Amino acid sequence: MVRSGLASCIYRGAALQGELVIDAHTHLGVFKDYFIPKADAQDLVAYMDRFGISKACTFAFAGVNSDFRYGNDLVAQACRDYPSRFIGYVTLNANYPEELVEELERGERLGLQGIKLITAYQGHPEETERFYPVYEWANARRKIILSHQWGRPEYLSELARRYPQVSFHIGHLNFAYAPVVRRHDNVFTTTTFVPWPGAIERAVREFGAEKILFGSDFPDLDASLNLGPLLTAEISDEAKRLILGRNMERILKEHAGGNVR
Amino acid sequence: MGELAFFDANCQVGLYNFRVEGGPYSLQELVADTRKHDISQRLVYSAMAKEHSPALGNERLMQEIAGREELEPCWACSTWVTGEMPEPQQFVQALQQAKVKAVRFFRHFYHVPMSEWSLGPLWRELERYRIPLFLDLGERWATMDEIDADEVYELCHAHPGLPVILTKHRIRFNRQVYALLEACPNLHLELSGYWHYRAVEDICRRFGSERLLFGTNWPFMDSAFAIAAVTYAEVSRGAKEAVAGRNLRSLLEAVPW
Repeated sequence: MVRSGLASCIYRGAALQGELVIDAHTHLGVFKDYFIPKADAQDLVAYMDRFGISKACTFAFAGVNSDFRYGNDLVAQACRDYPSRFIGYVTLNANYPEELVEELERGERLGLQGIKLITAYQGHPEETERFYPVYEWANARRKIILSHQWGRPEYLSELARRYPQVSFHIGHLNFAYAPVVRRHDNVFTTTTFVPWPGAIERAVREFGAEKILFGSDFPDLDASLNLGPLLTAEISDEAKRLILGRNMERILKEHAGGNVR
Repeated sequence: MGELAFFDANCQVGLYNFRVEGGPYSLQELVADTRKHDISQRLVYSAMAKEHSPALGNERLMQEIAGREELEPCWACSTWVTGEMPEPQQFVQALQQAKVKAVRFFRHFYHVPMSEWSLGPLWRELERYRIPLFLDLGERWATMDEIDADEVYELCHAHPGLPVILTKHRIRFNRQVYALLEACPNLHLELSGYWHYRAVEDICRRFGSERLLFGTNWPFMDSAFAIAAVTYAEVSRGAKEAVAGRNLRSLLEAVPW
C-alpha cells in the first residue's frame, strides 16, 4: 500500500524528519511500580531521536511520590547535559506545603522552566488550597503548569480566569475539560492517554487542533502509544503539525523564555 | 524494505457493553480498520462470547465473519459442568470441524476458576492439539494488574505443551510478567496490553522475539499503537516480522487442522 504524509512514518518506523515535535509530557528516571529499562537522560535522547521528537518537557518520577528534591536535581542535570532537548519542570509534593515556593525558587535557579503537579499520587485532591501560593508565584512569572488532572472543569476555569499569565496544561486527555479549554486562551490539553479509534479526531473537534499538545508520557508509556494514533488520525497534516509542536513552540516562546530549539 | 505483514492476535467484533462514545464495533468498521492499516489477517473473537454466552457468541462469530478470508475465528471456552458448553473432547472436535485454531478464556466474565480441578480436562485437550489459549484475565478492557501470577504459572507448568498467551491487559506491574516469562517457556504476551517504554526490544532481548505477538485490542484501542510499537522497536527486521505476524502464524500452523 502506498502511503503519504506524516502517517507514512508509522508504518515504516521512520523518524519524523524536518518536523518540530515537542513532547509536552515526559518523565525521567526509574519508578517504583514497574521496571523501566534505559531511563537515564542519554538513553531518553536516543529514544527521542528514534521517533524524531525534538524536545521533551520532562519531570522526574522521583518527584511524584518520593524525594522531590532529588527528582528535580535529576531533571536539572538532564537539562544541563542536553539543553537543546529537555525543558525541565519542577515537580511539587502537596505534603510539603511549607516548601512549595522554596522549591519553585530553587528550581528556577537550577534552570527549570515549568511546574508539574500530580496530587492524586500524594493523597490530596487536585483542588487543594495548598497550591494557591504556587499559582500566585507562577502567575507573576508567566510559567507553564502541567497537572495530571485539574479537578472539576469549573475549578480549572476559575484558575484560568484568576491566573491569566499561567499556561495551564491538562496532563491527560479528558473530554470533560473541552469547554474550559475552548473558553480560555491559557488552557491546553495534552494528547496523553490511551487512544481508542477515532479519539484524536474527536479531540480535534471538541478542543480544536490549536489547543492540543502532543504528550507521550514516555518512559512511563511507550511513545508509540500516542504517536501512532496521532499520525494516522483522519485529520490534516497541518492539524497534526500544530499538535506535534507548533502549539507548544508558541507557548514556550511566551512562557519559557523562547526555549524552542 | 516493505511494510510488515501484520497478523492481529486480538480483536473483537459485535455489540459490546461500555462502548466508548462514538467507538466502533461492527464488522464493517473492523474491515475498514483492517484496510486503513493494511493489516493482513486478524484473529477475531465475538463480543457476545465474552459478555453473554461463549456458545452463542462462537456461533454468532462464525456467521458474522463467514467469507472473510482475512478474519480467523477465535472461540471462547468455558466450563462444561453446567451443560452450557460441550465436554472438552466434544469441544475440541467442534473446533476441528469448524477449522478454528485458537481459543480464549475469559477468567472473570464467567467466574470460572482456571485451576486444574476446575478446567484441567479442557486444558489437557487443548494441549494435546497445541491449540493456542488466550488468557483474557481482566474484567474491563484494560484492567490494570489483575493477573494472578500463580494461576498463570500453574497452568503453564501443568501443561507445558499448551501455548498460553496473556492478552488484553495493561500489564503495569511488569516485574511479575518478566518473572512469568522467565519461569514459563510456553507463555507468550500479546502486545496491545503492554504499553511500557521500550517493551518490544527489552522483551525480545531478554526472552526472544518468539514470545511476543502483535495485537491491537480493536475496537477498544487504536490499531496504530501496536503497529508503531513494532515498527519503531530497536530490534532486527527478522524480530519485527516475527512479532508482527510470524509467531502467531506458527502457533496456528501447529494445530493439526
